[in-house]
Amino acid sequence: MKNKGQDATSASEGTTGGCSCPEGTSEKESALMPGSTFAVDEPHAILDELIQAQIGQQLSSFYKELVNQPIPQNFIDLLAKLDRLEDGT
Amino acid sequence: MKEPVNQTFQTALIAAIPNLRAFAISLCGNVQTANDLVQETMLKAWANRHRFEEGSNFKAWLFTILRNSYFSDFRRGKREVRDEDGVAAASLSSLPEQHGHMDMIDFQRALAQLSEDQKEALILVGAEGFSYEETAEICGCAVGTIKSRVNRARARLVELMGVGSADDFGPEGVSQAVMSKAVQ
Repeated sequence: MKNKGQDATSASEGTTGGCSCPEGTSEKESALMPGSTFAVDEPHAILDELIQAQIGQQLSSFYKELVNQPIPQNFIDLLAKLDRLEDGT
Repeated sequence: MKEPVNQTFQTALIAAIPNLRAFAISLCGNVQTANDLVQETMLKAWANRHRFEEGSNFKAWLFTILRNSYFSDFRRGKREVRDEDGVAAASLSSLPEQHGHMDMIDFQRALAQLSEDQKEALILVGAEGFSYEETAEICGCAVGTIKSRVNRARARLVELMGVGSADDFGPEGVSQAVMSKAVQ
């Protein structure tokens, strides 16, 4: 006999489509329902925000690291060459 | 004798190199190819400097040249050798240990798996800080297209990174995530 609260998963699955097959979802579908690939049945929205914030932070750190790398020497040489060309020599 | 305009142009070009390079590495996933791409961008920018309209967004102009070069020559040429581990090691070698070196390598691997359209849009908006409108102009497409690419890129990264439970964050991660949220 089923008691109360048995269908918690389906109740909280308020998003479009009942299919919860992660492999089968296309790019488009998963964008529309970003939380759909997780077997999480309650704090969907909060978790999703945290994940997005986490990813945003990793993206920033990753990019900042690249921006802070020293400029390769041949770039500086190239600019010097352009400079000399401009002098007409 | 040098024209002062050229001096100004060159100074602005030099100032933009770190960002051009970061964008190129993100796109190519290969440091050597990225450096070639930036050099080509610099040469094209210099050769076309008379075409730059004074007062318009110089950085956006340079990024347009770079991404057009990438999509017309570099990607088609497929001159890069896919070596994601090598890339990760080379481009992130100076990352301090306390910032989670492995996390960043994982992140870079995930980023490399995005489609090029999505990756480009995500980097320009999410990392480089261009507006959706500026990004649309750089990429030569509609603003709505950029928005949807960014959203798809984010959703795909969530899948790829496998961050499916709150345990992945840890107490520090959660508070950082909340704080960065609050700052936005």
